[in-house]
Amino acid sequence: MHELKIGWASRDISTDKPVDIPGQFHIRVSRGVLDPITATALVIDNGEDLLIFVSADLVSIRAYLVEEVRALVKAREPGIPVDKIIISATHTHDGAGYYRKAIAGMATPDQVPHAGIEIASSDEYRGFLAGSIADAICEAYAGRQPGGVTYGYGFAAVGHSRREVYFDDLSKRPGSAGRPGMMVDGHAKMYGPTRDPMFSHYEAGMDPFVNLLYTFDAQGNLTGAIINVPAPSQCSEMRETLSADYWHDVREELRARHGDIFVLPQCAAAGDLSPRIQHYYAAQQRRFALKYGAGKDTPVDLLQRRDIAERICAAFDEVLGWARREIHAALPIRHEVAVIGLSRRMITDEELANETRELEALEAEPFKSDGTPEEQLRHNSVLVARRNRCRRILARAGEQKTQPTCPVELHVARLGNIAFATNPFELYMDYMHRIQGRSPFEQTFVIQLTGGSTDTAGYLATERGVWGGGYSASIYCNQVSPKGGQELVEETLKRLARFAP
Amino acid sequence: MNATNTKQALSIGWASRDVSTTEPLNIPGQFHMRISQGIIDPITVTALAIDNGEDSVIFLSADIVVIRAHLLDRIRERVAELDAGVPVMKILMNATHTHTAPTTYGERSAWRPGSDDVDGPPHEGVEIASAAKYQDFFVNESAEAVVEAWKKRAPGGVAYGYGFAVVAHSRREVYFDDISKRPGMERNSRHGVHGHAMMYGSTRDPMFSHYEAGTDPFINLLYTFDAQGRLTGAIVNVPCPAQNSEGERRLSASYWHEAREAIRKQYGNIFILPQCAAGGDLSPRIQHYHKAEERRFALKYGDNNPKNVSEYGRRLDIGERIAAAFTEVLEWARKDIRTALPLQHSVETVHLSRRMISDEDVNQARAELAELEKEPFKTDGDPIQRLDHNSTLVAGRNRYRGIIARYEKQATEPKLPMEMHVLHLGEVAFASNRFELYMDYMHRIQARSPFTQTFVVQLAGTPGPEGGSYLATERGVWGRGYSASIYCNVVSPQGGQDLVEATLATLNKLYEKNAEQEKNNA
Repeated sequence: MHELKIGWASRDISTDKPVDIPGQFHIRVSRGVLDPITATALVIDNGEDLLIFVSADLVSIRAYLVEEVRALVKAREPGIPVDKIIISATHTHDGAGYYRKAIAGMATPDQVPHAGIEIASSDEYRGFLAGSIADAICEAYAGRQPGGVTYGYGFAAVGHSRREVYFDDLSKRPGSAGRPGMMVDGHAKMYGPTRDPMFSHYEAGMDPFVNLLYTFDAQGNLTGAIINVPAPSQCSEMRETLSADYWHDVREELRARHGDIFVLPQCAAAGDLSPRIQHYYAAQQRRFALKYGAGKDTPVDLLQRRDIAERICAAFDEVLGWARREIHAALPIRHEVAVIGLSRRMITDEELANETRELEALEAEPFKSDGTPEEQLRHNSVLVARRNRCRRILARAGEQKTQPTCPVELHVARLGNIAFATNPFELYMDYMHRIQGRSPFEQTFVIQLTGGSTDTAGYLATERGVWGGGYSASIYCNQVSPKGGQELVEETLKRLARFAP
Repeated sequence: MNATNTKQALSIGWASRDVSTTEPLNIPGQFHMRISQGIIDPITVTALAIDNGEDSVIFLSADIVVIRAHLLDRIRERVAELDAGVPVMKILMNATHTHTAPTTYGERSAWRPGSDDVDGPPHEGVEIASAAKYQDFFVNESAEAVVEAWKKRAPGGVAYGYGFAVVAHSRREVYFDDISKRPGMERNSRHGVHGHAMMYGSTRDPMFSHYEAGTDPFINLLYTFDAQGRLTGAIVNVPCPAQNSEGERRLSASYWHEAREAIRKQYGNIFILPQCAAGGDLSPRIQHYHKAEERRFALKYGDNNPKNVSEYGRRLDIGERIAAAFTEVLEWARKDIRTALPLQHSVETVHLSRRMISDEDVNQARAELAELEKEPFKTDGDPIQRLDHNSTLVAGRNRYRGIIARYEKQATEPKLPMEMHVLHLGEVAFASNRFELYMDYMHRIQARSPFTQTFVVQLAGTPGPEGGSYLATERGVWGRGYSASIYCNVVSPQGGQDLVEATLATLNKLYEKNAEQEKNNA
């Protein structure tokens, strides 16, 4: 009963074509590959139910990508229940762009003049990407073999709060012009200066837990692991080369220690976290100089990545050291997929009027036509992104009249005494604690930025986040309200309770 | 080793004493009195003297819960008796906040203002050793350690760095609702007055919203070396009170014992001087994932607990993480050992805004005190049960009396005086406070400090009878609960910011003075 069969596969999803690299307001065009971006699939099947995890080194997973992947898999391997495919993004800001044209968010190349700059087709890349992910899933499924799993948690300081809170309302400071379409700072600011005399605290702190699930073959050899860390992989978020960010360093280090195992990274709830410390910069510079021999010109992001990788690998080994004493070759699996409705963050009449005005002003602003093509692209793509974001507010104001909730695909799964729960957001950490604090399972892996059949996404801020304002907690960033966030918590817990051991 | 300025050559001395006792002494840290039944692991004091010929600092760390009852005054006096050459005002003493150390309070009347229970609760059938005698012993041992460290100063070097060790976790859970309004909630001087927050509140509660302020995984380290470059010891500064095993009735240094053992296993019998950075809202225990933790320890450590110590798995686990960070940082920090450094050490008295007691609060305290004074001591049950009950009753009364006493003097003394040490040793700084300081204050100081690293040292000794007490933040006071109630807070959030600004003013002054001197030297 419940004997596990486990399959792994991975694909390199890098491209050397000059694709758009999404993740910032401005369009960055890839100049090459710093390190491989990958998609990794893991299938765990006990004959009664199964889990299909895919992790991709991308900034986000859009519904149309999931649909394309599911369709391809279904066509190739009708035995796979494609609705159960869980695809999540590590949130590297150096993944390749696969977006369809003219989405209502950041600018896509088709929306911005870019004479003199070659930008490869994102549709073409999406074809390659979806095919590669589907290949990996089918290979993992076809390669299922008897094996075992174990699990545990450990600690690694990776994510740090990126929301600084101030005694005063920043928007009322002299010269603090609003940035329509981008953000509205209040008492809080993402990446705000901690040297400010009015700095009060980090909004919610950090979470040092790492959740780990290891797999073994029938001979007890380690074959791979899910590593679930509450920190987006965005040390290198401004580069114009493809990169998996710190996960590349983690994989390299783990493979140096354990051979060519599969590593499947998951980003736990970390909407308000970043892999960068927000004070002690001089101490960090000295640390890296002494530790790695880094000079002042050494890119700090690469050092941060290395340092983080060491800590994740230390946690990996520490947990493996004791967790492998209890390898399970048979376990119950339950996996439920549902589409739930979450309360929207409503646009007020005042906000609507304001955004209408701001959009008019942004639309009146001409594209930059002087400077280099790169300067023009940077400027104009930011302008388009801001227009898009204002337009989206207007669209949402219309939608909310008839659709007070946003649809979200939710996966809740059990594997023995541990559970997995997905969401499509950059989810603020507190929500994860509400789920984990109340979950009946020993460990609950929360997986943010999981794609599905629904397109609801964005940051999901907490009550205190919305109170503080700032990027990630503004109307531009939040489709769903804190109330909707608690609905996600309750809907998740309801299913976890049903699956309870 | 790098010697940049022979004028400021460092001389460094260490000493330590075992201050454990087998006497049946009271173990403070809980509302009820616990009488020691023996020793799990040693209680120690450790002194480190660093002198550059121009200024000096003598760090003194003690495995005790809090420094009060003129303890610092008495140690300074005793040091002066033993060696008049020791600059006693430069002693920066701190407690690790272990909840399993013998009382250092001496006679009860020495520190409990307004207390009529000079002799504490009745304790027939329970032998309690003399707290006064133990204080004498503790003072003498500490003073001897200071003098020995001072006398043993010899040329050497220091290195420093920061790393990460997950030791602390938020212990303040915040709820959607005001839990004081829930049916059956207690409202008394011992448990504080809960509001939206609760210390060690349940995270399984459907109304659980979040951890108030999260945690801090930073560990600050200062290593010392002898003239041959051999590691001799280290200051290990962790934002977490050492209060695993806090219910035990045996002596223990809590997780610092395991940390010392793990470090010494690798580096030999070096000195370890623990400092607790701001950890008023933190604890060395996770607040969710309890079942996962149980499994972790079962698989990792099995039945290894020879002395049957509570929270032993946590202590071993924390000890491992501190030792791992110690090693990680040492490996690179020792590339930059300094044998000469500027050292400036400021000791000043700062005045911090008190948390005021309202008329309503004091009236309530008076009324509830009257009720508690009517409550008779328990006379049934065994002697330990009686002492548990009656000492809790006395603690409850004393906390109301403390409120009344504070109310009576707050109009004339709106500020609390506190001895504050701020010093720098090259690019690292140390800043002390007497409190169980909420973490946010530390971040305000560290982020704005002009120094590369700033070691915040909480629960530092200050002259006079008083010491310790929580210093909650604005959000803490809003949420209320134990550690953020009027019973726990002598100083207000405004006073907390007074502390931040006073610390930063001195840090900046020292930084600028040092820059000026370096400019002149150049």
